[in-house]
Amino acid sequence: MTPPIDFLVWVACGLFGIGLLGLAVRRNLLVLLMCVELMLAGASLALIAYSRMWADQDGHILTLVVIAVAAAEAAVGLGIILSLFRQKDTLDLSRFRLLRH
Amino acid sequence: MTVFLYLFGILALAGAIGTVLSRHPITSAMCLVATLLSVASTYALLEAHLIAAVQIIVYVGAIMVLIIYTILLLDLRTEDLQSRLGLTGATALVVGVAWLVSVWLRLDGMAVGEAAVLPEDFGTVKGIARQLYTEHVLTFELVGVLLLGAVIGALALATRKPLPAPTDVREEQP
Repeated sequence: MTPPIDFLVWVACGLFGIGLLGLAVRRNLLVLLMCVELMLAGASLALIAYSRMWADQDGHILTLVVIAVAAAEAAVGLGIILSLFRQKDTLDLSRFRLLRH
Repeated sequence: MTVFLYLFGILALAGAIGTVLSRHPITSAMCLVATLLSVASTYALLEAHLIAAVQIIVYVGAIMVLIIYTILLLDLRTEDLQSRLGLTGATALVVGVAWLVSVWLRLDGMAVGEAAVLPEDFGTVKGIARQLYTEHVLTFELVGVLLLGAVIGALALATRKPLPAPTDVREEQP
């Protein structure tokens, strides 16, 4: 049996697009972090699907790297979020203007 | 088996929509867990056995638990979604639709759907390890350096003294 690669690529595109949409619409920093995870999951799914299609394991290696990057991102991101919350007592993105000129 | 692939794909999309649309971060986190588990099941059905296990252990077992722990640590209020679904949401929707159309134009002429015959140890620990430690060993070492940097960064963030209260006079109070 051959898996439906085109459907899986569409699912991957959907995951990435929904994550992007959430990144634009949501204001909570934690939810933004989760939207980034969604986009990473979409990219990984496309990699695995094409890996299966070409019977090539390079996509698997790249997915492992993506998972490691996601772990690093979560560690640093949650550290930043915690220190921001200690400072401002909120996670609402519209209340932060540290970098605004 | 193909039925399960469709099922898990649709479940992943539903979880993603739930992640973006739910009002409280803990609901978002739970929907994201559902999405990541569905994606892991899809990996398993695509013969990526090791990656499916790693996805469940690292993503769901470590990263999501860390995020949920942070949510429980912070006292968060539910967010007012309505006020944001105006101009920004419309712009994001237009960009998203344009992006999907461009992907569709690109995918339309490509020969997708015809899967190749798999080698014996495809996606197993043995197969992945052979490739990871010979061909991609530099990648592996660089990922180690990246994780070391992330650990040092998280440590520096956690142990430094808190910044003095912001004295920005332009900041308006709510």
